Amino acid sequence: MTPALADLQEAHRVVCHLDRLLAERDMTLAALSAQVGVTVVNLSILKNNRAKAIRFTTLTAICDALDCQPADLFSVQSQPP
Amino acid sequence: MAVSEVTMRPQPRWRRVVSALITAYVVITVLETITMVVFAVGSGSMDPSSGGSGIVLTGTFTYPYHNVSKGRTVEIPVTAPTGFTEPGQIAVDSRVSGFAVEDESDFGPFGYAGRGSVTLPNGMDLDHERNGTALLQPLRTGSRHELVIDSSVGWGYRLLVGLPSMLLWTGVGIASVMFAMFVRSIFGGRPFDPQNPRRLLWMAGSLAMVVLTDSWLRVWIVRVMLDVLNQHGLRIPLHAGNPGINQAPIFVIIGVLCLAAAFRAGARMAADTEGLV
Repeated sequence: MTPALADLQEAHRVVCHLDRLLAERDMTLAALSAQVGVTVVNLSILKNNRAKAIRFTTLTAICDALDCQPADLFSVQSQPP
Repeated sequence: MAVSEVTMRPQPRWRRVVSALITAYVVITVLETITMVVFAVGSGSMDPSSGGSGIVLTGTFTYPYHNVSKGRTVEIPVTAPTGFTEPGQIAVDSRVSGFAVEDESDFGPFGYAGRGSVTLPNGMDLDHERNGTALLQPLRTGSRHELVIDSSVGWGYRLLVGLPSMLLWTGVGIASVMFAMFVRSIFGGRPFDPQNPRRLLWMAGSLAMVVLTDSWLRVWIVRVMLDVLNQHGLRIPLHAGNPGINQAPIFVIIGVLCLAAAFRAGARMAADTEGLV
């Protein structure tokens, strides 16, 4: 990992709640991938909080598929003391 | 599609074959470089025309040997090794070419015509005029300026004479290995590998060393060896030529440096999109 990436990873505290949303709707990652048109690999990266950025088109497609808002999908952890 | 996803796919068979070939090429290149660098030192006494790394000093000395009875002047093209038996003497390998010698006695005390060692008399000043005829004429334009060392010469001279070849082969080896690793990253689906800009810089530096070694260092070493010979009372009116640099490789080196800058920018952009979904 380049120093720039390491700094970036430490800089954000965004948490993705995709796993919870999928469990509530009884949907698998593969099914979501088929609806959204994003690969399972990328959705897995998103679900495991390893993503660094997300395209608006991807965000729109996920929210349409899960019938949710971006605020349901992401939250920002409070800053550690 | 995230950049990381490209590397997570199983590689096609042809890419694996290319990767294996490149690995084999790297191994062979490293072994060849080591062999040639070692050979450069040991073969300093071998004429380059025979595959050695020695530098052959050639020139045309007009040897004004006058056979009093016959009154002829015989011209002898010679090669002058740095090996010498006594101070003031230099072993001269007289090679007769391009003209006929009627009688070997034309060479008098200087040995025989043909290939072989001829020892000049102790204290002979090769620039001394005798019988109104200069012993030596200026080197003809276009003659090669190379120097070969005698096999009995010490390791200091061997290393000095073999240095251009050692550096040249080291540069070729480094450039080849870096190029192979660069090509493997391209075929491996990682064109903007973060190591590629550094590999290209190493290639450019190695090529620059090869160019400078071949065109400048070799001439400089011949000049040094001429000074060594001249310090022993021998005035050899030879010059080592002018160190010139071929401009074509310079453009190649600049091109590689530009590629390094481009790939550095590409690696930065690839890093920016790492983790993008």
